[in-house]
Amino acid sequence: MSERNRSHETIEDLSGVAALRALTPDEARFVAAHLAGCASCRRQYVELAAVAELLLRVPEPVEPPAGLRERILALAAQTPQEGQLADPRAEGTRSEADRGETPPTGAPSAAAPPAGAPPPEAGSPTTDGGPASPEGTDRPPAGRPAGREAASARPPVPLAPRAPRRFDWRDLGLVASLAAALFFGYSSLRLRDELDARSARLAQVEPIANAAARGRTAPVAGTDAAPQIHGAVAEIDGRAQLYLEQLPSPPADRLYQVWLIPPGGQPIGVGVGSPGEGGTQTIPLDRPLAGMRLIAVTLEPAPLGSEGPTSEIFAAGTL
Amino acid sequence: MDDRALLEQIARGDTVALGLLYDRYGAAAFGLAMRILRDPGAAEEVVQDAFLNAWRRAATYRPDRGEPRTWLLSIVHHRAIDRVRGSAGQRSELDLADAPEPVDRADVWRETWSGLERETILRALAGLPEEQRVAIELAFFGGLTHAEVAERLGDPLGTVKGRIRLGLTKLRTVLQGQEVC
Repeated sequence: MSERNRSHETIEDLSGVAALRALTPDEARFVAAHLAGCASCRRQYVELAAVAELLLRVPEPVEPPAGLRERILALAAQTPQEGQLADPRAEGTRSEADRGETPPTGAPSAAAPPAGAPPPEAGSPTTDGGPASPEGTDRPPAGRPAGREAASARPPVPLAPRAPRRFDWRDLGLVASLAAALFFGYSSLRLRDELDARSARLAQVEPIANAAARGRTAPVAGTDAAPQIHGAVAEIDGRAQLYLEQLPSPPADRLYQVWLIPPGGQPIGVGVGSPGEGGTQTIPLDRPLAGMRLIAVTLEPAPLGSEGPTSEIFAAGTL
Repeated sequence: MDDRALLEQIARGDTVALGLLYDRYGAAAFGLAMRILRDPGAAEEVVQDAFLNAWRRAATYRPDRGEPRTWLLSIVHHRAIDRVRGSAGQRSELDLADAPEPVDRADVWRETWSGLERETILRALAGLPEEQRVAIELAFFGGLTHAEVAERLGDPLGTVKGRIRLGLTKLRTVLQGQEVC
């Protein structure tokens, strides 16, 4: 019996187990390698996998705990989305960070499109994501800190003045970034262009932009330690966020911690974060800005930060 | 709005659409995670993780790889199984979506099957010979590898592999018949 035939038999044997995802990692690699080059085995596998998909609906639906919906939506609002324009340089580190997370990527075949280069899709919000876009390396606060390695592996990409950049319209961070853009000399004409280019989303943008006017915002700038950092803090309806760009990647055991400082008082730690791709980071703050005079950002031990600031200040602003 | 349009909205950054997806499939996702994990806290985390993953990766969803519901529940299944096996972050099995190219026939069935009632699927599963059904359930909802299934049942490995394949093939035949009728 030829090697090839023996392989066919083994795969046929394993196809049901493979469809149920009950292979060991070694077996899965073996099967995937064979399927990549064998149409008939692949067909059989896909047919059984389609049956297995039906089994996903077998368990009785159970009402999830109260509050889960709200928490998911709140976390999503803080979680950057991956776009279609994958940065090829990011591929290695991103798949490292996302390994095993998502079914639709990681096809075993060389004939399949690379995981990081999904086909462009019309009308996507993220096709304008330039090299400075956050590419989903941020993890939500409750998630595993898997994105950190990916983030620290890449230096932030400098923002060219006219480089296309991506706004997350649904995020309060937009308010902050609008404020930052205005403060740091993005022309209002350019902002207008960006808004016009997304006319379909204007209806959503405008209330947020109005919120910028009625809420509280203040610019935050890098110090001598990191003069390229810029950003802003925004507070709408009692929720404050700090949005920063061009943050240098911190060492693996460090993260950025945000402090609010009342007049004549001690700094109060109000949030921590690690920049995603392009050095962009939105950090929700634990408390409102009322009664505070200064906001400052330092580098502190991961994952919790410090009781009080221990490093020099990398960025600061007056409230 | 159908599920695909919903996912398109989600890919545009629409959290309202994400809420709608949750309203449609949150209970199915939680039920699936509970069946595998048998722990409300762990199931809740897996469901949260899966929805946020769907949020982050909505733009990478490929309509030719199945329904959004299947896509979402597959993520839940992966996460839950990884958790059972203590192998979070490690790809421990082939992906349903890993087929390198669409296979027309299977896709057609996939499409028509998506309209099947849950009751129909349950009946077909219940109609399998006991030993096939148990092997399938232990593997798919117990998070066991086929070697572990064999060990649990005290059967030879080859027997278990065969039962699983026969059982799935039979399910397929039964459900195709249902669909045609």
